[in-house]
Order: sequence, then C-alpha cells, then structure tokens
Amino acid sequence: MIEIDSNEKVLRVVHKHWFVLLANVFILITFVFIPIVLLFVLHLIPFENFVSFRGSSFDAEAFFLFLWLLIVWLIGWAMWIDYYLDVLIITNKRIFDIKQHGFFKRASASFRIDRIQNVTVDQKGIIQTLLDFGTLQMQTAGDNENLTATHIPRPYEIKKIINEMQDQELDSSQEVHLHPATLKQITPGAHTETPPETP
Amino acid sequence: MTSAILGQTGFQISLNPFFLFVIFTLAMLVWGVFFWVIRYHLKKYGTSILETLAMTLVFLLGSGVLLAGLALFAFLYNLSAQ
Repeated sequence: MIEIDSNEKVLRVVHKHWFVLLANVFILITFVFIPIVLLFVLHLIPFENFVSFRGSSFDAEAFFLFLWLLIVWLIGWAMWIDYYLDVLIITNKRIFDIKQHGFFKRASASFRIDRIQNVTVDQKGIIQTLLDFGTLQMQTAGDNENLTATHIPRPYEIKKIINEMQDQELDSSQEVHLHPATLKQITPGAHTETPPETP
Repeated sequence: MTSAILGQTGFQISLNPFFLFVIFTLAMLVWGVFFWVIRYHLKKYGTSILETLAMTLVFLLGSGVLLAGLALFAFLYNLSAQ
C-alpha cells in the first residue's frame, strides 16, 4: 500500500485502460495454441522419432501440454502484475504516479496538487476517442517537472477531479483563521464563546 | 524435415517416469518462487485489500488446476510404464 498522511484521503485509483492489455492477451492466446497446433494439427513434431516413451505417449504429451500451459499462465500473471501495479493515485493533497516495469523495476513520483499549474489531456486517433482514453500531462510550478500518464481511461473526468481539488486547496489556503482574542479586538461586539469553525 | 534430421543423427531421449517427476518438482519450485514474488508485490504495492485477495485466489485456483493436471499425467504415465 502507498504511504499517505493520516489526513490525506484517496480519491481515485486509476489503472491504465484495458486496451493496453489487448496486445498481451493476443500474445497469450497465441502461446496457448502453439503446442496444440503443432502437436495435433500439423504433426510437425513427431515425438516418437526422437523420444522413446516408457509409458503411454498420450499421458506424456498431456503432461508437457500442462507444463506449457503453466508457463503461459505464469507469463500472463507477470503481464497482469505489470499492468495492475502501473497506477495513478489521486488524493486530496497529492498525485502519485507509479510505474512498474516487470517485477523488479519500479518508479514512483508524487506531486502536490497545489503545485500543479496546468493539466492537459491528449487524445489521439479513433481508438482513443471512441474508447475514451488518452494521455494526461501535468506541469508543476517552479522546477520544470512534468507528469505524463499514458492510456488513462476517462481523462477529462480525471482532469475535472484534479481541477476541483486544486480549487479546494486554493480556497483553503486563502482562508484566514483568527484567534478569538484578536477577533474580539477587531470586532468589539462579537461573541468569542463560540470560536469560528476550523476545517 | 525436423524428424528426418533428428532421425539421421540418431538422437533419442528415453522418457522415463522419474524424468517427469523431476520436471514436476522443478515446476513446483519455480511456481513457488513466482507465487512468493507475486504475493510480495500485491501485498506491498496493491491498492485494495479485496482486489489483492481476489487476485491471489484466482492465481491459486488456476495454478492448482494446472499443477494437479501435471501431477495427474505424471502419475498416469508412471502407471502405464509399469
């Protein structure tokens, strides 16, 4: 789990669009069918010529087929973990951009909402437009650090959430909280028994 | 063509049941390491406990079916070899 402050609230966890997974799914389906096609349709690998079976050849072939399926299953999970852990987390204070590359390479960056100056959405092509996903770019103030998140589903909705959080942060930073004694000095008629609510 | 080349070289593997059990043990070891790595990633970096549990369950179920298939056919091959 990500480490956030106790007063920080996770608003949205955004994974990449499912379209990104399609290429991987096609690869896996091809992998599943490779031995089936080779063994049972094309007979390209006549095992009997170079393997001497001590028992039933059907059982041995089924064993290796299951072994192959297990390998494909594990490759599929590696792909899924890569996809699933690549995530954009929006809290009421910050945006976390976590990029997972394989099992052992992970990059995590966080940007304060109030430091973000500009949020742009880039949707290119018919697929991105119809399936409603695109690239979200955020520019931060000061240091020229940019956050680029690709294949984000419903990017305009995410942009709206970020803009709303920015407005809230701006409003709360402009609020002036006075001590009851000071308030009494500047407004003599004011009741100080009930101090103003602090958010 | 492949078989012709292999036939000329006289290359032959004797597939005894013990060999299948060795492969099965290796597959179990690799699977165990993989499961440990996946569990570590999901536990440490997952964003939802429920999703993590669901994924672990699906992984264990699918793996269970495949490993059971492996064990079954290794066993059946062993039976037919005797």
